[in-house]
Amino acid sequence: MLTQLAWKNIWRNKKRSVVIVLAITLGLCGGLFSGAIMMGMGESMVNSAIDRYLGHIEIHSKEFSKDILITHTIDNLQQVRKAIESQDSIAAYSERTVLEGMAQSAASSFGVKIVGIDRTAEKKVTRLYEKVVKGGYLDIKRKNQILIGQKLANRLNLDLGKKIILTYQNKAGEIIYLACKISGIFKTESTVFDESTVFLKKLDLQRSLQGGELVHEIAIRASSAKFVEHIESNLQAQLPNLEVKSWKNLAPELAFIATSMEAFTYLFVAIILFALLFGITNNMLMSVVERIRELGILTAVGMQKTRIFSMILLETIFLSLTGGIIGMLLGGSLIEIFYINGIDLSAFASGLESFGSGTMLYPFLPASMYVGLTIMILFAANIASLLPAWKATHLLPAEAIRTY
Amino acid sequence: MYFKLAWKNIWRNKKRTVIVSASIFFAVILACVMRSAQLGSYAYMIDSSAKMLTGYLQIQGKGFWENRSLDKSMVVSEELKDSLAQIENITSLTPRLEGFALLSRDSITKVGPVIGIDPTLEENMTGLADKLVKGQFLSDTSRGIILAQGLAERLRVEPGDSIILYGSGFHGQTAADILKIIGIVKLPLPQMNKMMSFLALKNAQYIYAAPDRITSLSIMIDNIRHMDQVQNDVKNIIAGNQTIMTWKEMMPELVQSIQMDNASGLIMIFILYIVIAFGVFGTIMMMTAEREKEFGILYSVGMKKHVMIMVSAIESFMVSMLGVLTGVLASIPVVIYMHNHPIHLGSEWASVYEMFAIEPIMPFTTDPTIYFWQSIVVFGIALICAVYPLLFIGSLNPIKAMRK
Repeated sequence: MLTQLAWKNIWRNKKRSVVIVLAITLGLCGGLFSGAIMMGMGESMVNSAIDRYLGHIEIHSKEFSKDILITHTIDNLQQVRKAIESQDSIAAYSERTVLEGMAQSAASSFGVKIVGIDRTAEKKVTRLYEKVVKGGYLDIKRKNQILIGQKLANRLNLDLGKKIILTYQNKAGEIIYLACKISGIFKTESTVFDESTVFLKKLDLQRSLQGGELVHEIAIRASSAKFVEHIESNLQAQLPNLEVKSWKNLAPELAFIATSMEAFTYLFVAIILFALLFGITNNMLMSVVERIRELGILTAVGMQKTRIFSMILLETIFLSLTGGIIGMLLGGSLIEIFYINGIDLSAFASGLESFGSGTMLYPFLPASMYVGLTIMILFAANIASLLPAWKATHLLPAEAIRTY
Repeated sequence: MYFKLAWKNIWRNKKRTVIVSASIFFAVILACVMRSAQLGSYAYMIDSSAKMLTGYLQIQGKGFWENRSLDKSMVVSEELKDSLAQIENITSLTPRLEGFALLSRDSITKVGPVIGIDPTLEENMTGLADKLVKGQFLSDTSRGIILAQGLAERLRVEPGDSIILYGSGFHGQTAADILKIIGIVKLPLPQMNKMMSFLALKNAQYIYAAPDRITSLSIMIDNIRHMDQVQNDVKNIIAGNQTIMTWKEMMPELVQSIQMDNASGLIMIFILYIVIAFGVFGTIMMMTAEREKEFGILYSVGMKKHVMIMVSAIESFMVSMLGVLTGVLASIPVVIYMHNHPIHLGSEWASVYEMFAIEPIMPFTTDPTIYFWQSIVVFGIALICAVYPLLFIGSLNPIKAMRK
């Protein structure tokens, strides 16, 4: 009964209700969409970092994270491999030899991280091979081939097929020079990465070092992102002498940005709702003032104050939810459309890339956010109805009936 | 007369006017504080990056920026120095000779930029000597080397130890020397702190076999507003094999990050103001509609329609400006307080900021144009809202209106 009455009351003044519903719709739609873009950006940063190099989980020796040294290897490889392979839900893993050294050309030189990879294993863990923009991936037969980043190639004035000299130390501390031929040039979302990382085959690198099978890093890809934490803790328990870290711990600033995007979205929507609060209150207040006589009569014929209060509250909630639901539907479908097609932000390419985010953005909102938003809208409606409802229940019926 | 009438009209329903002004009031405070924080951060980012890294402008040998080769170094003639000194807005000129080399101690070797600096000039620009944590700073004739703290830890050296420098000098000559560590500096950026080391300029020129040559001359200016003019002045006097770059060209990532952040901030404020505009519009609509009878009578007794429209427009303007004025007045002390007490961000933000080579502080600007823009926007909203009474009164039928 009361619900019906409240719903009908809203539409007695259509123009006014439409204005406020529109305000809520547009406000929410805009807020949701910008939130979804931020979330998409956070997601893109995380995914491109994982696909570029990190993988889901990395294993190192305990000292490696403090200092990249050739002696900080992962020992007992057999046992480690067994432990990894015994896990469920691991898609692939890649063993890497990692050195710090210098890359030199006739033109210039630059400090780089030299990564020796197994070409097939690495392909299953990271997507570096997709990022090769010139030439190809490492050739299986040719010796001493190297993949370098676009930025490094520019810096050293190098191109495909040219020679590059790597300088690094072997276990005995002797300086090793390795002349490599550039087989491919990659360009990822991160210019810092492109400038300071080079890849060659693990066997080539190990041959030059003459120190046997040196593995410093094992990158693991889980079959699904949701198993990462489980695998991390399992492996750490089985390999207490090594350091097992998920991407969240390897790049905490990334994880932090990604999570703070969600908080930002909530904050932004909260601000918009706060602004809307004033509009809704005003609207309801007017509606009560217009109906003073009517409300007076209702009180006079014996309608309880609590019921009048509930009626005003319900009206406010209906009004807000109408706008809220339309806004969420509209915002949600906009987000869906752009999620499918992507938004091209290549105008901001280098800014995005310095964050490590791709230039195609796919905005999205987690489903839980829509629930959270509905609760926030209901909450706002409750607050907005307080003043008008108070006014409606504190009428003097005798006077109210005589107004107008 | 009109103003008085409008003023009295808006206070006929006090609550309504207060609520709608309050919504503008909060929006203006929010927008002002947010813009102040954003613009303040940008200015701070630019200034600290310029100071710490590149200077606002830099004279370089042509082609140096692309491949950082010593072969692209230059000789700055005495005449050029004299003419540069005569350009008014230049506050300092800092020469550097930047090379890349291996640094070894026992069996540990690290790679990084080894930069020749003029100790006094460098100190004036970047305050390098203040960052000294151990040992002493360089002097003009010093033959020693200063290491960044992270690098010293990785090499496991202390002041007093010697290290071997090995790299390539000017025109491919070998640069090698044994250097005594005289001091250790702590650089604010982890990336730099892990790699950099400094020599006295004279000594660096000797080691790199590049007498009298430098790779860059950083220019600081008194105010960023004068940058274009200084750039032009300098362009006219440098030699043909030299070029001048601005911080925008040297740090495109920073420029685009700022643009992106700025755009997202503006979008947020835009959505907020749309919501506010609907609130104001709704209020103006109600104020007009409930006075239909009154308008009808006024018209019948001979008041001109355009006068009534004018009064309504002034009402709309007054309600809005009330919010803006109080909002601006209230935000000024907030902004001034924040300007004097910049926010120090938590440790998680610190790591994000460090990716951009800036300290994790959020300073606020007191630039008065912020307030100006808020006022303009709200004024625009008031104008748009005044369209409703215009249409309403324009199509007013006094006979029907009076019967309401």
